[in-house]
Amino acid sequence: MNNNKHWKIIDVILAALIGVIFGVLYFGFGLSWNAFVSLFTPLASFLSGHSLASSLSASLIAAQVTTAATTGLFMMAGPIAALILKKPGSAFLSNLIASVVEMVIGSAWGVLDIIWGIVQGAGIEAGFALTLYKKPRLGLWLSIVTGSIVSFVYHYFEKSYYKFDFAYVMILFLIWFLSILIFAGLMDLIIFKVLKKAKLVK
Amino acid sequence: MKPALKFILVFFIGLELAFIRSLWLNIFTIIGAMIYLLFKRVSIKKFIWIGLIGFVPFVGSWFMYFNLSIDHSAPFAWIMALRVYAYMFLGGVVVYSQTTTQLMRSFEQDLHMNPTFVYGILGALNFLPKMNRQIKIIRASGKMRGVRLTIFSPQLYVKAIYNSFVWSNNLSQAMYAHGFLEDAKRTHYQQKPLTCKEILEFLFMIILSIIASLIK
Amino acid sequence: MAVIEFHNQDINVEKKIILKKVNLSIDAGEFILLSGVSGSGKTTFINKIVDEYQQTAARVFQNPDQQFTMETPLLELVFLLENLRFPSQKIGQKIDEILREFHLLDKKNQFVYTLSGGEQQRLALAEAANLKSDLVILDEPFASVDRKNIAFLLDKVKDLKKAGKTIIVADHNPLIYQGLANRIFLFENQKVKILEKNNFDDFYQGFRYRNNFHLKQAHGNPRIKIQNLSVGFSNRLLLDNLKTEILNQENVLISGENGSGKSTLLKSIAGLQKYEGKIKTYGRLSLAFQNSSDSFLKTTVDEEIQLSKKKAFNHYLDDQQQIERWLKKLSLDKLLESSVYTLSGGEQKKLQILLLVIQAPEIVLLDEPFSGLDKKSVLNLISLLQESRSTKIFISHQLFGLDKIISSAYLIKNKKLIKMENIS
Repeated sequence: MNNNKHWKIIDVILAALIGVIFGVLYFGFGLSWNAFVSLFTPLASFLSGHSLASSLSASLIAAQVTTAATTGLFMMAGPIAALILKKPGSAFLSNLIASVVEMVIGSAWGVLDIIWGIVQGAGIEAGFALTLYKKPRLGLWLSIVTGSIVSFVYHYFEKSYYKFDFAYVMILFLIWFLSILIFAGLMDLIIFKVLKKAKLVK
Repeated sequence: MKPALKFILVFFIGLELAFIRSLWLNIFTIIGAMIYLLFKRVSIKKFIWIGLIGFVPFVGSWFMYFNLSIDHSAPFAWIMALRVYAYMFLGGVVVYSQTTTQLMRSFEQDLHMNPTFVYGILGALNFLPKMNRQIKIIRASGKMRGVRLTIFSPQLYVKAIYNSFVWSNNLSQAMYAHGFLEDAKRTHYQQKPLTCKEILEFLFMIILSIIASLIK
Repeated sequence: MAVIEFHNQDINVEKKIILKKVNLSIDAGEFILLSGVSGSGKTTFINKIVDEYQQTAARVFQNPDQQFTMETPLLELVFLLENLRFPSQKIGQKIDEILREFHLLDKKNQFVYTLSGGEQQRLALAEAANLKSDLVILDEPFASVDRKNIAFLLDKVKDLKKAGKTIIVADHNPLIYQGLANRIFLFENQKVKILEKNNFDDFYQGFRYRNNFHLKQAHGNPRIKIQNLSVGFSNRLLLDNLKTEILNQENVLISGENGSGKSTLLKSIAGLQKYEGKIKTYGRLSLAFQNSSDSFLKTTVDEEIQLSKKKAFNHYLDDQQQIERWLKKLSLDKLLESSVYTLSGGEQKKLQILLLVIQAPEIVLLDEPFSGLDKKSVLNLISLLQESRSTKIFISHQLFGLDKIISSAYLIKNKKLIKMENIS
């Protein structure tokens, strides 16, 4: 907003509040995601004649695909905050607050939320940092790339994807990237454009 | 232990859990966190809540890692399944054993974080219930005008962000009206300086967690 | 000695001129009353003073959401005293002193948002009084405070004046400050007019008016049935066992002291508030939120109007020509392409009600629909609302003009809803 590098208290509050919005909404995503995947998929597979054990694990494959497909939703806070505030650190701060809020409300991931928040926030921040915060639009697209790579590499180790078939992992990455492109990229851009049309941002 | 140190400790163990596959680290973390929460007199209801929401990911993780991993290793499946609860109880330590205000003030006093960030973030976090209500109001007003707003409607976000603009402006003015100024010195109510003993405790716990993670 | 001076200065917000050629000065120890409808520039004027003269001036705001920064009165005062660099060991004792003086000691660790309107403003004034600032600014401080608390707070304000502080108050009801103000600044048509003491009588006289209500017995089918309705708010009971029936096409006024539960009742009817008992509504319902921007869903004025036309439930007013006539009457016709978020508070209110009348649900709930509007706009809006055949419930603390539309009235008093035979 005003002079670029220096953070005034109003900027901190705004970045954190944007995080709070998404934290509140993430919790909604997280819950409905869990409920959907954990109840629907095993039930469907169990009813179609599979054993309970194989139904449950089938549900987790579905879960991994769903995780990949919804990743973008969980990375929307950072880019929009960076587009609005145009300050170093705004994407990171906003994404981190969003995940802290999600943990505080009580998601099934506990401390993982915060670690994810930091990893995703850092990934997105990197894209904007590459342009030195001078070209927000370019920064957005770069952040989609850096955000996808950083978060997926982290996920690869955390979830031990090296135990799985490589082709399967590559498909997951593709879905992962598309999700981030659609939600954190396109959706955030649309939101930003509406804000601009409403004369709320410059 | 000082809330900020506790937060860093929990975060550190969380990172270890993410990268090191150790059954004992998982078990020690769960037991340790449970004892700590009991010691802090956290209500039994919260234990049950953690137990319930973690159950599905717990069972699911076991079967997935057992079936999907190339070597079908049961110990590996147990590690990944127990990890779900390790993360949740660690989360419980941060969320249930202190207030957000205590945590943020500890960041300010013990780790010398910039007060602008401490109080900006704290002020925004205090808006959590209001944000929740505001999002309900936005959706209700959409419904009254015949428009269904979902998480895929840009308008939902636009309106929530509009409210953030208004509130950040209001809240920052209120901060100034409380005598707050960026970069100004402040005194601290009931400050207890960080003691050597607390730092040692912290280091001890870190070392303990590393040892646990190395047990095969 | 002048502490604040403006010499022929224009005051802008985002390049839009709000006040033209302001020429005035305020002396130390003066008590200044700011008057004018909302949108006339009072708050802009205050913000300008704060920006230019003293960023950390003591302030009491109208809206408690805007007032407090921490969760409890204790933490609020800790934050304040730390900012003032009060010696650490003495903070605890000082806080108890302050809370005792403002009768809040038993609320020390209660969440601020669970306090009543009166308690919240007592805390706000306690903070303003203890901030080491010679300038105290009160912006509509009593908007949600009952009479008893207003008297208490006014005494404290008098103490501040005696202590030599410069006090600036903006209030839509200046009658409260009769006898206190040294000068009145009148905000009108982008100008600030200064009234000296000898002109006060005429000014105050203008704020007294007589209404002529004709309440009548309603007939018809019920629109809203309320049975055994109780609403509690954390540990206080706000509404106790209400019972009534509101009939088709009635225009109902609900009055009551600030903080008596009027908004809560509307929210309960709209399903936005938890309650015990039974509320049944017959027909589609819309609530005009007190914060009018909450009702908007699109970006420009025109888009909003088209949306309401498209989603109209009934067709009382949906002819384009008629709409354009009303747009003109409400001075919104030149703003069709403007963003709804850049409209002034008054323009937002007018648009909100126009949209509601176009959409025409069977039941309309209006929460302070006219606050801050000038008399002409209020009369225009009331004749607009008369065109609609919806059943309407009004909450309004100003009664001006409402006698033209209201057909029955209730009073909320001591947690009960009382049907009134007449309004005096």
